[in-house]
Amino acid sequence: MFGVLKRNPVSVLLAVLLHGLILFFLVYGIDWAPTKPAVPKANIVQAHTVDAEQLRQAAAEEKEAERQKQRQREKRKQAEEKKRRQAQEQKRIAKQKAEQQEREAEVKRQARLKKERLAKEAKRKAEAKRKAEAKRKAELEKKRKAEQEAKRLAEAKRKAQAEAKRKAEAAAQAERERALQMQLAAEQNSREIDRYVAVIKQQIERSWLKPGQGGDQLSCVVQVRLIPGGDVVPGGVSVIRSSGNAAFDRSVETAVYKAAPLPVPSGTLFESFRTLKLNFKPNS
Amino acid sequence: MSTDLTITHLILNASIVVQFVIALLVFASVSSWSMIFDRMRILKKAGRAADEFEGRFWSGGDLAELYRQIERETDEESGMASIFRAGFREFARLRTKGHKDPMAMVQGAQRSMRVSLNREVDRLENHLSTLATIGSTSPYVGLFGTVWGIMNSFTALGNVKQATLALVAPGIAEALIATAIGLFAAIPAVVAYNRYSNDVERLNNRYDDFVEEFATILQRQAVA
Repeated sequence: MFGVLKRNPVSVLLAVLLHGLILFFLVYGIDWAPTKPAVPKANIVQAHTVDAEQLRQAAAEEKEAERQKQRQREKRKQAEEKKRRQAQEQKRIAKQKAEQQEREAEVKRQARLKKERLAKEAKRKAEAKRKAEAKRKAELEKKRKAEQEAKRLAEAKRKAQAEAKRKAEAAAQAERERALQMQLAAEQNSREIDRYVAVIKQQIERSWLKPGQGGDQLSCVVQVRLIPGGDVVPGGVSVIRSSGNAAFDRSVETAVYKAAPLPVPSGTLFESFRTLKLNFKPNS
Repeated sequence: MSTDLTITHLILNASIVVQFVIALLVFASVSSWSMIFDRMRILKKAGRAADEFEGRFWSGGDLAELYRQIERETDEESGMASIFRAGFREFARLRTKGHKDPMAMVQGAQRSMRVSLNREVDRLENHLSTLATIGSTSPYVGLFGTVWGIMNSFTALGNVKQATLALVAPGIAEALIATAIGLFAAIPAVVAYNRYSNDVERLNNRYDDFVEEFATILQRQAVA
C-alpha cells in the first residue's frame, strides 16, 4: 500500500474516500431508522379591545349617511325614468320610418324578382331547344355509327369464316398426308418386323433339339418376353397353344432359352418385340 | 448490557481483539482498493500505449527513423516501445561491430527484447499478488474475530444463572461484524485480481507476439 501511496497517491485518496462514504452511509443510514415524533403546532389568536360609546356614535353616523344616499338614489332614478321615456318615443318614430322604407324596398324587390324569373324562363327554353337539337344530332350520329359497325362485323365474320374454311381444308390435307405417311411407315415396319421374326425363328431352330419320334404334324405357339438387347426374361417363355405333346413343348422352351440373346432391332422398332409370339413346327 | 444495536455502538463496545481485527480488515480493504484504482489506471494506460505503438510500428515507416523518434520523445518509454528500443539497439550495435552471422545478430536482439519484456510484465503484475492475498485471507481473519467475540460472549453467559437471548444476542452481533467486514474486503479484491491478472496475461501475449514479429523483420534485414 505504501508503494502505491508513493507512486500514485490519487488512488489511495480515492480508496479512503470510498470507505469514508460507505462508513457514513452505514452509520447514519441505521441511526436514521427511528423517526422523531412530530411536535403539534398551536393556532394563535390575535385580539384587541373595543369602546361601546364610540361604537354607538359610529352607528348613528352610518345611518345618517345611509339616508342621504337613499335620497340621492331616488333622484337619480327619476331622472333616469324621464330619459328612458324620451328614448322610447324616439325609438318608436325611428321604427315607423324603417317600416315604411322596408315596404318600399319589398315592392322594388318583387319587381326585380319577377323580371329575373322571366329572363330565366326564356333562357331555360332556349337551352331546352338547344339540347333537343344536340340530342337529335347525337342520335343520328349513333345510328350511322351502329350501321358502320354492323357492316364491319359482317365483313369480319365473313373473313373469319373464309379463314376457318381454308384452315380446315389445310388441316384435312395435312391429316391425309400424315395418314398416308403413317401407313407407309407401318408397312415398312411390318416388313422389317417380319424379317427380324424370321431371323429369330431361324436362330431358335438352330438350337432346337427336336424330339425324335412322332410329331411331324405337331405345332406349338410360345410367347417370349424380351428385354432390349435380345435377352429373354427369366421365366418369360410360356406356351400359349400346346401341341399336346409335353416333351415337344418343353423342347421348344429350352431351345428359346438356349438361343438367347436373340437378334432384335434397337430403337422404337423394339417395342413390337417386347412380347413375341412364335409358332413352331418341326418340319418347317 | 445495552440493547442499542447500531453499528457504531457495537464496534465501540467490542473487545480489544475484535476491534483490532476490524481495524486490520479496514486497513486491508483500503489498501486493496488503492491497488485496484492504481492497477486500473496503469493497465488502461499500458493497453492504450500498446495500441498506439502498434499503429506507429505497422504504419510502414523506416524502423531506424522510428527508433530515433522514440529515443528523442521520452527517456522513460514503457511497454512495447521499450521492447522495440532494446531489440533495435542491440541489433544496431551488433551490426556496427561487424558481425556477419545474421542468425547471431537476430538472436542477440531477441534475447535483449525478452529481458525488456520480462521487466515490463513484472511492472504490470506488481501488487497483484497482494490483492490475491487480501482476497484469500480476509475472510479467515474476519472469522477469527467472530470466533473470539462469540467465545467472549459465552464466557460472560457462564457467569449468570438464568441465560436469556437478550444476554447473548448483542455479543454475537458484534462478533459477526468482523466476518462481514472480512467479506467486504475480500470480494472486491478477488474480483479485481481475476480481472487484472487476465488483463496482464493478454498484454503479455501481445508483447510476445510483437517480439516474434519484430525478430522476423530483423532477420529479413540481416540476411538482405
